[in-house]
Amino acid sequence: MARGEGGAGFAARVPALVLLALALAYGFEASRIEYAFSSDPLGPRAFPLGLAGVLALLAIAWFVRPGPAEPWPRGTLLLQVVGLVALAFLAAWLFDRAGFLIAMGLFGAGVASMFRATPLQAIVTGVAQALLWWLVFAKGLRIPLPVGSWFTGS
Amino acid sequence: MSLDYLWTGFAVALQWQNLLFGLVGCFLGTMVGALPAIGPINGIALLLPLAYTLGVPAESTMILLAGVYYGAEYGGRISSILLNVPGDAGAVMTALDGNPMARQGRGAEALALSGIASFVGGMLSVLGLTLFAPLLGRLAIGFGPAEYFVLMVFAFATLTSMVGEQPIKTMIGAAIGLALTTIGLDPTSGAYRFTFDEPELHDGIEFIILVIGLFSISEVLLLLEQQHRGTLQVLAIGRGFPSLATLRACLGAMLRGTGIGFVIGVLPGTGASVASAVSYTTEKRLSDREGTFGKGDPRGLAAPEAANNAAAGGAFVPMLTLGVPGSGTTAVMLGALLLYNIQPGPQLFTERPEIAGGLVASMYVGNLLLLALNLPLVQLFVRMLLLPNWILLPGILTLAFLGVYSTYASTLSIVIMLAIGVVGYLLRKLGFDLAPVILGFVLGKVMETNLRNALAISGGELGILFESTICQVLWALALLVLVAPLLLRRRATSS
Repeated sequence: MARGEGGAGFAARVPALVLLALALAYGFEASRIEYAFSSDPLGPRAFPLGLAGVLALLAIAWFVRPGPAEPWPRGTLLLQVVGLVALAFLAAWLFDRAGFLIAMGLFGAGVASMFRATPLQAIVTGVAQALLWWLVFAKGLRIPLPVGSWFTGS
Repeated sequence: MSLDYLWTGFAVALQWQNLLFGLVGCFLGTMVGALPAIGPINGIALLLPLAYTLGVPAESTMILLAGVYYGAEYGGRISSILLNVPGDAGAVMTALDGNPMARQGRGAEALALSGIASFVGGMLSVLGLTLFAPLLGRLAIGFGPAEYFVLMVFAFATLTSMVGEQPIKTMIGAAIGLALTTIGLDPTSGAYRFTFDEPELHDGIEFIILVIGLFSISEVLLLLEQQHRGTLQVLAIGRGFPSLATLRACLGAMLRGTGIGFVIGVLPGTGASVASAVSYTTEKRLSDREGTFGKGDPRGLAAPEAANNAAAGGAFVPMLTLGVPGSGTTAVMLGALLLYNIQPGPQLFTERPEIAGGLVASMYVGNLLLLALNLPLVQLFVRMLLLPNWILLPGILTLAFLGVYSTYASTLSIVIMLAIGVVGYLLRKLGFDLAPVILGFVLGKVMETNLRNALAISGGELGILFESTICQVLWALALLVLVAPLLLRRRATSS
């Protein structure tokens, strides 16, 4: 697929509609901001309300002329991107449960293999970089890193 | 005009630990500039939480981060010349003549020449910064809240007209950045805005989480998509040094590049990439009589290289004196200053000369260090280009996790960073530039506060935004930068 053009189909315009909805929701929330007293005449609502208006207008302009965008990944590539995101969230979930070393060792190995390391290279890279950063941060800079609640039982 | 701040600054910059911070910054900067996988914003975003958590003093942090910034403008040329892949956005133009030179076996000459051009651009722009910043600072003393608000409007106007080919998306990016700053406690009224009763949101979105998510995480996702483009071949460097005749032939190109780069750098929001593009096209129009540009003409290499380094220096002028960053990277540095509770402005030079002066003085030292790093040690950085992504990226991602965790000590902040990273990736795929988002984010609070203060002074009367001469000039300039490109384009299409 070539780069999207100004006369692109509806799919290219969906993000603009999403932005418009977000702008309206933002404006609606802004109008409901509660405050008892403000020392300035404008108050805390006006700036976000104005911004919501500007964003909504810009979203409409974007809808009318979507402009060029990059093609979305498809097939295996899409799976890889989604996989990397999932792996990152998994690593964040493991971070204080399994501890820094295990979470980042696994994450590093997974990322390395996604970037075409052989399985052996991936494992070595993952473990080595996790150890290296742990030495630098926990030992060298004395920044406490999670040991893992699964092991300490807390 | 008083240059007292500079002497204070040299006393700070020449302390051994600050020299060390400068050297480390320059070294890391050349490295992140050279590696196509990470650019200066990423380098700064990943270093900032480290320096902040370790309690490094503000002036040393700024010296470190500034070293990364202009070091990256030196380093970016290495991969442009040897790989034909720009190491960072400011080095796109460098490839046009630099890569053909390397293919002709003049790689070493191209690297040395561009190193010298970077030095000329860098050094002269620091001189410009030294002289202009206090002058602009003196002008800015007359600024009240209304003037500051209109100044921000002007900043967004130049951003819209200069950055990227899609002004609507630039404006949307800036507006998103502005909107993000309204989350959290409003100090004037005590109201909680957009917090949805989440205590985690009471302080708003943390700067470090936003920057690392937007830039580092989204970058890795994009790199994952790009790897099917095949492996790259690093060209041999060869031997050689530009002859005196070549240097003399390039001097004009370097000086013009420096001038263009500095002015564009000073303009709010427009940094090295715009500067090098304008300087290359100008030089081509002026000097390309034999049609040698694009085929390995040294002047086509010298001009953009001088320009991108000069832009980096120029971008500090409005950042330090007005608190309006001159580029995406200086926007991150402004965020760093705010993190230390330092609000830049005209008083910075008189009240905190150790920061403003220390930073400026360190840039003189830094450019000398970089010339030394980049002429004899260039081989070392070339070898880093061979480092495969599967070694580099796991380390960078772990550092991103560490940066956020060590600053906020919560795994929730890591999750927020990842979510912001996904949004950043989506925005970039949709054709957005992320620099305007960061610019909006660092300017948002100041813009709103000044608007509200101005209206508090006038008792709610909007006329105060148009009253003073400074305001009127700024409105006129904002209108001019928005309308001029449209008129020029219309003239270009009709002729």
